[in-house]
Amino acid sequence: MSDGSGGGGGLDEAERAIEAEAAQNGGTKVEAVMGCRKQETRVRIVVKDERFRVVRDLPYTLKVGEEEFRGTIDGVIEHVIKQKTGRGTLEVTFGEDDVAKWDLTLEELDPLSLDTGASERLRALMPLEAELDDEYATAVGSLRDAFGLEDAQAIDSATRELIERVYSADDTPADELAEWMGDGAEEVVASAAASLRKIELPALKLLEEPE
Amino acid sequence: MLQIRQEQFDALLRSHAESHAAKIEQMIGPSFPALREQLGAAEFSSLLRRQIGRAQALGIQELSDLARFASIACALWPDFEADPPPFPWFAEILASTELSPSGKVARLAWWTRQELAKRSAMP
Repeated sequence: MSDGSGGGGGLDEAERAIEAEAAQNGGTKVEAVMGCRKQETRVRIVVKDERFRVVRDLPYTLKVGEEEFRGTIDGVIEHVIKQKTGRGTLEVTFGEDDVAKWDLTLEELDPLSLDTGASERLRALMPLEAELDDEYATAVGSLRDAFGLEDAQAIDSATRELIERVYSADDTPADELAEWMGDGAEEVVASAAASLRKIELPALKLLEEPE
Repeated sequence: MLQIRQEQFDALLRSHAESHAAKIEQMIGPSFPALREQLGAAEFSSLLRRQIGRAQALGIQELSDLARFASIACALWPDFEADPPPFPWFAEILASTELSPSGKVARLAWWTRQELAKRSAMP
């Protein structure tokens, strides 16, 4: 169906029409549906080098929407952002004329009780690189192994508890964060990193602030 | 005391539902010209009304949510009309007791985009 091809052109156009209609009528539902209420999200990002070691002492700039945070990486880049959804970038300066930049998307996650929510959280623990599909898929598989998952569909209660523990931890040292990747995942991603600089980095986690 | 008989109440509901359906068709119909041409105007209208009724039966009531649900059905037609649809996330999201109706529609839209992106990437 051509209306739905190319990633949802018809859907996007319909969404614009729906938003326009809702805006004419006060816009309150668009705000609710799009998750734009003024709530906060905690963003935690771990940056790793090509040997999968946690990067420290490098300058970074994190932008999400209108907000911008600058600092020096001390294991985990962590900020509370005053929005639930949006787009942004992370720039890390490795050296003079050596600045890496990644696009970020901040999305609300499905509840952990849903398989979709559990999968989203697992994926959010993986490196951001999207181009290397094969390596990415393998690394996801390795991460599932680290979480004790036998296959893509088998997300049991024990796994959910583990994911919840990972996502609810607010004082975990960076080195321990790195361990969540599992040895297998490290080897897979590190071997890919040997030839591709872009795979060096990072694991992204989006943590909702507790109510 | 003014009393509204059940027949009158049903007629009011039908009128309200039809008003919703007409508005939604006007809103999102132009976004799916190929589907409308393929199905014909009458069947396209019928498709939207079926999906709006389906969404209402699932507890989705807001006009914008109904419009989104119908637009998802158009984007994924004909799979979305299958019973059950061939997407594991569909029943899971709709069965959730933690998501609001608007939240369910937002999630359905997100997963629909993933599905469409996956299809467009297929050789």
